[in-house]
Parts: sequence; C-alpha cells; structure tokens
Amino acid sequence: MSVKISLIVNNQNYKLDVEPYETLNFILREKLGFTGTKQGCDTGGCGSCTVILDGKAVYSCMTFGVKVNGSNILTIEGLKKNEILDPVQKSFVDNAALQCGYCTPGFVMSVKALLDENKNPDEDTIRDYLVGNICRCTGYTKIIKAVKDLSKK
Amino acid sequence: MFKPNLYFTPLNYDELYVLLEKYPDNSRIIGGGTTIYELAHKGLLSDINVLIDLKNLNLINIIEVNNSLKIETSVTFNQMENNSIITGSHSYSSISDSLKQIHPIQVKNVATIGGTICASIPFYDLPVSLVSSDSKIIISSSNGERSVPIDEFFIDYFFTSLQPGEFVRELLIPNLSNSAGAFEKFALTGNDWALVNASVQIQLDKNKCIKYIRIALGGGIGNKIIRAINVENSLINQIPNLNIINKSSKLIFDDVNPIDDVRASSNYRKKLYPVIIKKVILKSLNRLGVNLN
Repeated sequence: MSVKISLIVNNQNYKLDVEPYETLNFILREKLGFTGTKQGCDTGGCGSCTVILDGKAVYSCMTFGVKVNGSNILTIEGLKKNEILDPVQKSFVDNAALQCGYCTPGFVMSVKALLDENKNPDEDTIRDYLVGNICRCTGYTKIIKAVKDLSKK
Repeated sequence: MFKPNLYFTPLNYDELYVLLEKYPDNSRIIGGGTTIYELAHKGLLSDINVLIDLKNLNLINIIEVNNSLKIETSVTFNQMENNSIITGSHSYSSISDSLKQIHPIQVKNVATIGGTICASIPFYDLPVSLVSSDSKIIISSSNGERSVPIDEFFIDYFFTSLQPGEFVRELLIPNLSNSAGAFEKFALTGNDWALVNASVQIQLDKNKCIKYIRIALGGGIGNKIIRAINVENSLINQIPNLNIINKSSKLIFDDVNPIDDVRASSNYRKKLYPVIIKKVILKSLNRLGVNLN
C-alpha cells in the first residue's frame, strides 16, 4: 500500500507516492531523477549514496523513504549555485581528488556535512569523519588534501 | 525478499499496542533502519510486511532520574555522543568510549539505542558498554511495564527476551559513585565490526581496593555478549597492580570460545581477549586516579 509523502530536495518541494520498502536512494534516483547520488553496496559500507538529510550526512540506501516524510534533503545536484561550484566541489577539482569519480558525490556530501559542523577540522578529524566513504581507486591522499585546503580557508 | 507493504506511525502507546497485537509475528519496529536494510540485503526479513515507526511518540530524551540516566528508545548515537551528562561523568565513560569508536557518521546520525539492543548482534559496540554499565531495559506492553537486566535481555543472535506485543521504551543506566568505565575494540579497519571488544566498570573504595567490577565481552565472542565472571571474581577486593591484572586477564581463556570467521580465527580472538581486558581495566583505573602504566 503506497504512502503519500512530501520532500524538499535541493530547495524544491515534491509530493509523491512511495512503497514502505523503498529507500531514499531509490526514490531520489528512480522517482525524482537525481542520479548524482550513487547506488553502491546497498549495505552502508561504501558511502557513495551519502546525502544530507536535515543537516546530517546519512546513507540514502539505508533510509526508509516513508520515514523521512517532510524532510529537507540536499544532494550533489543542489550544491552548485548560479553555475558556480560549491567550494567543496571546487577543491576536489583543484586537487584532482577523483579518479573514476563514482565515489565523488558521496565524498563531497560527507565533506560538506563535516565542514558545516566544523570549519577547521584537523587531519585526524577528517579521516575519522570520512571512514564511511570508500574510494576503490584508492585516491585518498588527494581527497584528504582537498579537505585540508578547505579547512585552512 | 523484504517488501513490507504497510507502514504505521502510531500517535500514542494505545495505538502502538493495538498494532503490536494485531501483527505479532510479521511486524518490525524501525529505529534508524540501518540494521534492517543490512539484514534485508542478505535475504532475511522476508516474512516482515508491517513497519512501525515510533517517531510520533517522541521517545528522544536523555534525562537523569533517581541516580540513573534514562535514555529513551529513539535517542540516536549522535545525540548520546554529544550529551553533556554522558560526556561529563566517569560513570558513563564506557558509553562515551564506545560511541567514539563506532563508525561511520552516516550510521551514527540515525542509529538508535533501542535499535542497537533489539538487533541482538554481539558484534555491535554500544550494547557491550551497556552490559558493563549494568543497564536495565524498560519494556512496555498493553499489560504494563517490566524491567529486565540487560544480561537477561540478549538470548541469541537476533533473538531477545522481548515477547509478542512488547516494545523497548527506555534504558536506565545506573550512576555508580566513585566508579569509572572504559571500552576498547580491535577491528581490521576503521569501518568494520569488532574482532573483539570489551567494556568494564570499576568502583574503588577509600583504600583503592576494587569494591565492584563488571566486565562485558563482545565482537566475535559467540551468540551473545558475555560477562568475564572469572576475571571479575579474581579482582574483587584486590588492590590492583600490574601483576594481578596480568594474571586475572588470562583467566578469560576458561570463559570463552570465540567464533572462527573470515576476519580472524577463534584462536587469534582468544589471544586478543586477555590483551583487551587488560587494556580496559588499566584505562578505567587511570580514570580513577590509579596509574599502573
């Protein structure tokens, strides 16, 4: 039996019918077309599905869509403002902090959540916060550098 | 396949009890949802077609009552980690320790205390520190409420002493004066389940003699979290020194039969337990002003 929910995604209101088992990841990608949020392991191990839900980083693959009725969600598509990249996106570009790019939207959203909580994280804090995102190209050094550059600003 | 087709958000306890009685076998209460999706991905929970969300009951408070800390079932890990009562008292330091060592942030932001104990998975970290803290679980149903010591709550993997129609409403963690807790885990990576974990609560008397000690072990320990009773008994009424702690920690060999899995062999885990027990005891004593390092 489908349930009516409303969501704010990247400052736009949406009303839609969802099934109780559908994940936020499925809803974002398949029902609303926000395919920047990736689907990876589906079990909370890789972080590629990370979005910001009411100001906090969460795994969209493990979030019940019905449970987040009325919430405010930020995905990678919501970062760029007037064709200008968000500072987190720009720092990833400037530091070449991506190889294949599949993990990048998840990393960027986690970093955005970290910097919203803590403007100047040290390297230990950065590494600790990003434990839930993996890069199978193993490009961690440049990712950490991209965050450290932001931390100095 | 996990495909629940009904979802309810009861507005009060009476509505919740009606639902729990109407769907005794095929419903699950959802907390953060992370464990449920992980189990569903492994092909489990295919018999569940009703989800019950407690969000309208607002069980989201952490309150001091009668020398205990009451933590309501929907409180998240993140909320606990940032709570000044928990971070401000040595009595609750095993809870703070375990929360610091739980990853990732994406799970901590949504996972709840009710969910982590009702999952009954011994690899989880927070339940181990709740056992060493001697927590009581307050269970409610249409028949009233009952209190269960956490030792008696866990029965087997995924199996607790909750009866049909009941739900976990809150936990009570005693505030033991002049005591300190400590928790540690060994894991292969920062984002993996514990190979072994251990938690302790120690109370000293005026002569620095151990008046009370409670040690809980989890990780690959077997089907449920256990107490290290032999170690506890050998340390009670002793003035701790390194020699006594070394000897006592090794008594755990008689108490455990850890699992063999892809992460580590049973023998390897068996060798880790005395090391981690010693580590948590020294950490707790240090917090009580006894530095044996």
